[in-house]
Amino acid sequence: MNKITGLFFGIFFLFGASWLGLVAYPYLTFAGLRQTKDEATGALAPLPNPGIATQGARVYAANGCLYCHSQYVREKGEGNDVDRKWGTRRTVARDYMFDRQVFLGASRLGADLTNVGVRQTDPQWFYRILYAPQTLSPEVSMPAYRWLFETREIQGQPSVDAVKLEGPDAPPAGYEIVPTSEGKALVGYLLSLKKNYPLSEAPEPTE
Amino acid sequence: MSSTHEHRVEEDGHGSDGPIEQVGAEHSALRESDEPGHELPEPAKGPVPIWLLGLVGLGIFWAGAYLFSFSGGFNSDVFDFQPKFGSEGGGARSAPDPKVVGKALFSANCITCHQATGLGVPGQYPPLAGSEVETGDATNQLIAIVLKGLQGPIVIEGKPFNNAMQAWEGQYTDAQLASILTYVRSDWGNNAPPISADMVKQMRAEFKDRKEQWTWPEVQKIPPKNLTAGAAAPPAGQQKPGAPATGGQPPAPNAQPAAQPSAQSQPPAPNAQPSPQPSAQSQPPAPSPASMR
Amino acid sequence: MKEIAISEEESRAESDAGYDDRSGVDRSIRIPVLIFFGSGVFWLVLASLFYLLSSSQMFTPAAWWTFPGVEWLSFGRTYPIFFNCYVYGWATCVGIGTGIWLLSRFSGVTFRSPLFPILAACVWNVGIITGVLSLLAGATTGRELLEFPPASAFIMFLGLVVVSLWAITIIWNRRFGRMYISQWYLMGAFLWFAWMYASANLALGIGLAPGVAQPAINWWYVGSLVDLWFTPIALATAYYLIPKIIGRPIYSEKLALLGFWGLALFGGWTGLTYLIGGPLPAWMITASIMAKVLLLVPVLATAVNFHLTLKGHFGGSRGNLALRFVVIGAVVYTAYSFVGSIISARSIAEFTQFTFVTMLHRQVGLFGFYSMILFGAFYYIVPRLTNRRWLFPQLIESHFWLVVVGLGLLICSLTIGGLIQGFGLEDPQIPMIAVNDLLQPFLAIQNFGVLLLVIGNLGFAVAFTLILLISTPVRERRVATEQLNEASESTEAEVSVA
Repeated sequence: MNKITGLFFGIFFLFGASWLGLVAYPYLTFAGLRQTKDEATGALAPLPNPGIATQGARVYAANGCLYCHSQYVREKGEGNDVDRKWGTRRTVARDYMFDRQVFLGASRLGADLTNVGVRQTDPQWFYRILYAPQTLSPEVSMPAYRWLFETREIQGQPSVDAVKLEGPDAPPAGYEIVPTSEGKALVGYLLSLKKNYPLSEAPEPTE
Repeated sequence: MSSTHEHRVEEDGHGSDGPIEQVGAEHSALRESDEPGHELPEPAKGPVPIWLLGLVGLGIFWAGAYLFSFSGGFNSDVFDFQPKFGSEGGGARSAPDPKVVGKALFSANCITCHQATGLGVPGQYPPLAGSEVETGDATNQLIAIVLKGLQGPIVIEGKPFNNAMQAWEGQYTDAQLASILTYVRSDWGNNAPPISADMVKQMRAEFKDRKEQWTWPEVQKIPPKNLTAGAAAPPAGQQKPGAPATGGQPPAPNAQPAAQPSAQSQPPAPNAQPSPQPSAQSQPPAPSPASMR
Repeated sequence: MKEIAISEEESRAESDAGYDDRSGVDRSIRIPVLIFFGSGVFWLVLASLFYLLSSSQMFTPAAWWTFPGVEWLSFGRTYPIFFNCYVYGWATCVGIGTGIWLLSRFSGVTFRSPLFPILAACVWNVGIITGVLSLLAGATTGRELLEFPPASAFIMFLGLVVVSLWAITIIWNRRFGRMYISQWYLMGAFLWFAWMYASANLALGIGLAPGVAQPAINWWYVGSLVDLWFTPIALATAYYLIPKIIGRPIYSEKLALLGFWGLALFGGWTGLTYLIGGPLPAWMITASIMAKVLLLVPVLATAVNFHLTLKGHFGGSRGNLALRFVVIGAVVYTAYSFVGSIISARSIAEFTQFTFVTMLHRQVGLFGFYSMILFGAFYYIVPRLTNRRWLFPQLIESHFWLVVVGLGLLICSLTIGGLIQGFGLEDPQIPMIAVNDLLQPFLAIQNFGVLLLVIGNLGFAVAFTLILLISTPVRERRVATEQLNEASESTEAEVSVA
C-alpha cells in the first residue's frame, strides 16, 4: 500500500466513526434528558442529588470504591440483579442524569450499590461497615477505612454520630469514634443512592 | 540451550547479524547487511485462505442480523435489547397502584378537612370512613360532589354538617380524581369498587354546565347510577386493601363485605374472570400479566 | 522534521554505501529510545511493586504487610497507581520507544539531534510523575485508566502530541516508496492514541460529559486504548521482528491488509462490552458486541499470517529469546481475542461480568500479549542501540519462565475463581458475603502468580541495568570474541538474543 493519503484518510475516518457513535452521540443525547412529571402524583422523577452527595462522591472516588462495587442494575433477562433485591427495576440513562460523577463500575467483589440507600437507611450501619468491615464476615475482602473516622474523648454526652462498636474494635472507655467530615460526606452519598422511583422507559418486571 | 543449535546463537539466519567482523572503530560490530533500500524482505504474495474468506462473509451476514435485531430501532430510549410488547418505546408504562397514588393526593389536600383518619371533624367536616356517600352505589353523585363541591347543610350518618367544600374539577385531572376516590373507597374499612378515570370524565361532561357548588338536596336529586356496575373485570392489581398487589393473577372475586350498607340496585357484575388485557376502564394501565414475559 | 535530518546528499551517500550503516541510524535515535526504555523499566518496577501490594490487599486486607491503616497506600490508591504506571509508564513508554526505533529504521534517516522525541519523553514522564503523586494524595478522577487529574493528563498529552507528530512526519517523509506493514500500524497507533487521549480527557475531565455519557466515553477509551494503541504497536513489532529474525518474508500481504483494516474498522467500537446490561441504549451495546466478535476476523488473519510465516521455523524460538517472547505474545493474542469475543456474548456475559474473568482478560491482554512482544523487542533492540550484549542469559531465560508460569497461574486461578464468582453472583440464594468468601483460595493462587511475575520483571530490570552499566561495548571485546568464534562452532559463549 503506497498511497499514504489513502492510509491516512482510512485511519482517520474509521476511527472517526467510532468517535461519532460512542463519544459525540452520548455526549449530545444524554445532555438532552429531562425529568418527567408523574401524572398522578405530580412528583418529578428523577430528583437531583443533595449537596452532600456530590461531596461524598469525591470521597467515593478518592478511596477507590468503584474498583469493587458496581452501581447499575441489569434487567431481568440479562442478570439476576433484581432477584437479588439490588433494585426493583433496571437502571436507565435518566437515573444518572443528575450525577456529577457516574461510577458504574465493572467489578462486584462487593455488593452493587445502586439502591443501597433504600436497603440501608441507618447511617450507623454504614459507619460500622466502613470502620470494621469484618463485622460482615471475618474473611471479607473490603479493607477498613479508619481514616474516615477519628477517636476523641467524650465531652459530656456521647455524640449522635458515634459509631457503636463492640469487642476489639470498640474505643477505650471515655472515648468515642466519630466520622470526620469526609466520612459523613461519603455516608451521605451512599444514603442518597436510591433509584427506585418509576420511570416509563424502565418498567418493573412482572414476575 | 544452544548446543543443539546449528547456527550461532547470535545469528538471525539470513539477512541480519553475521559473525563479528573486523570493522573500523566507527562502525558498530553488530552489522546487518541487507540489500540497500530494504530493511526487510518484502511480504510475499500468499493467498488468503478460503475458509477465512468464508468466515468474513459469514461474519458480515451475522453482524447485520445481530445489529438490526437487537438495537431497539437505534432509539436512545430503548435499553432492553429485546424490548417487550413489541413496542419501540421501551415497553408498557409501569402502573403505580392507584391507591398509593390516591393516598398521596388525598394527603396533599383532602386531609386538611377530612383528616388522615377519614373521620372528619364532628360538626365541621363529614367523615369518609364508612360513609354511604363514599361507598354506596350512587357513584355518580359521589363524583359530582367532588367535581363541583358542596355547600349548605348536609346530614351524614345522622349527623349534621354545614360547611363548604370547594370544587376540585379544576385542580385535578380525571385520573387523579379517580385515584383519590379509589383510595377513599378502600381505606379505613371501606371496601367499594374503584372509580375509573373514564367515569370521572363522563360525569365531568355530564355536569359541565353546572357552575356552582351543589347543595345537598340537589345532589340527592341526581338519579343515582352505579357507574362501577357493568364494568369489566377490574385490573389485576385491585384487591382487598392490605393484600400485596400481585401481577398476573386472577383477581379475587370481589367480595361484598358488610361495609356496603346500602342495598344495591343491581347485583355486582360478575368479575371473577381473569382478563389477559388490562380492562378498558382502567386508569393507569395495569401491570402486565405474567403471560407476557 | 527535515531540518534535523542530515542533508539529502549526505544521506544518499550513506544509502549508497550499502545501507549497511544501520548502526548509524541506531546511534542517532539512541538517546530518545533509551530514555523511553529506561523510564519504561522504571515504571515497570514501580508498577510491579504496587501490583504486588494491591493484590495482597485484595487477598488479605488486614495483614500487616499490606499497610492496612495507611490512607495513601490503601487499595483504592494502589490499584489505580499500579494500573496507570503499567499502562502509561511501562507499556506506553516502551511502545513509543519501539515505535520510533522501528520508524527510524524504516525511514533510513539518521537524525542529527532528535530533540523532539527527547523532549516528548521527558514531558511524558513528568506528567506521569505528577499523576502518580496526585493519586497517592487521593486526587483521582475515579475513572478507569483516566485516573490522573486533568492537569497531569494535559502534560502527558503535550509530550504525546510532540512524539506523535514527529512519528507521523517521519512516515510521511519516508524515503522509500513502499510502506511496510509495520508502518501502517504505527501511523494508525500514533494518530489514534493522541486522538482518543485528548477526546477522553476533554470530555470527561474538562467538559464534564452528562450522566451516562461518562462511562460510555470512558469505556470507549479503554477499549480503543487496547485495540488501537497497544495492539497496533505490538503487531507492528511482531511484523518486523519475526521476518527479521528468521530471515523469511511475511507470508501474505493480503492477509496483513485484512488484519490492518479489520482492526481499524472495528477496534474503536469494542469498549462498551464492559457495560453489557448497563444503562445505555441497547444499540450501543449491541454494536460493541458485534464489533468485538467481528474483530476475530482480523485477529485470525494476523494469526494465520504469522503462523504460515513461521512454519518450519518455530525451532528458532528455542535459541533466540527475542523471537520466543514475540511468538508467545502472538499466540496469546489469538487466544485472548477469542476469549474476549466469547465473554462478550450476552448470555455468557451474564455470568462473567463483574467477575475476575473480565479483570483477568484485560490483564492478559497487557501482560501476556503486549508485554511479551515488547519484551522481545526490548531484548532485540537494546544491544543494537547500545552496542553491547546482554549479560547472564540465564537471567533472561528465567524472566521468560517466571512470566509464563506466573501468567499461567493467574489465568487458571482467576478463570476458575471468576466463574465461581459469576455463578455465585447470579444465584440470588447465595448471599454476597458467601460469594466473597469462596474466592479466598483463588486469590491466594493469584497472589502467588503475581509474585512470580513481579520477580520476573525485577530480573528484567536488573538485566537492563547490567547491560547499561556493566556490559562493555562490543567493539572492545571484538578481538576476544573473534578468537572464540574462530576456535569453535560456537556453542554457549556469546549468547545474545539477537
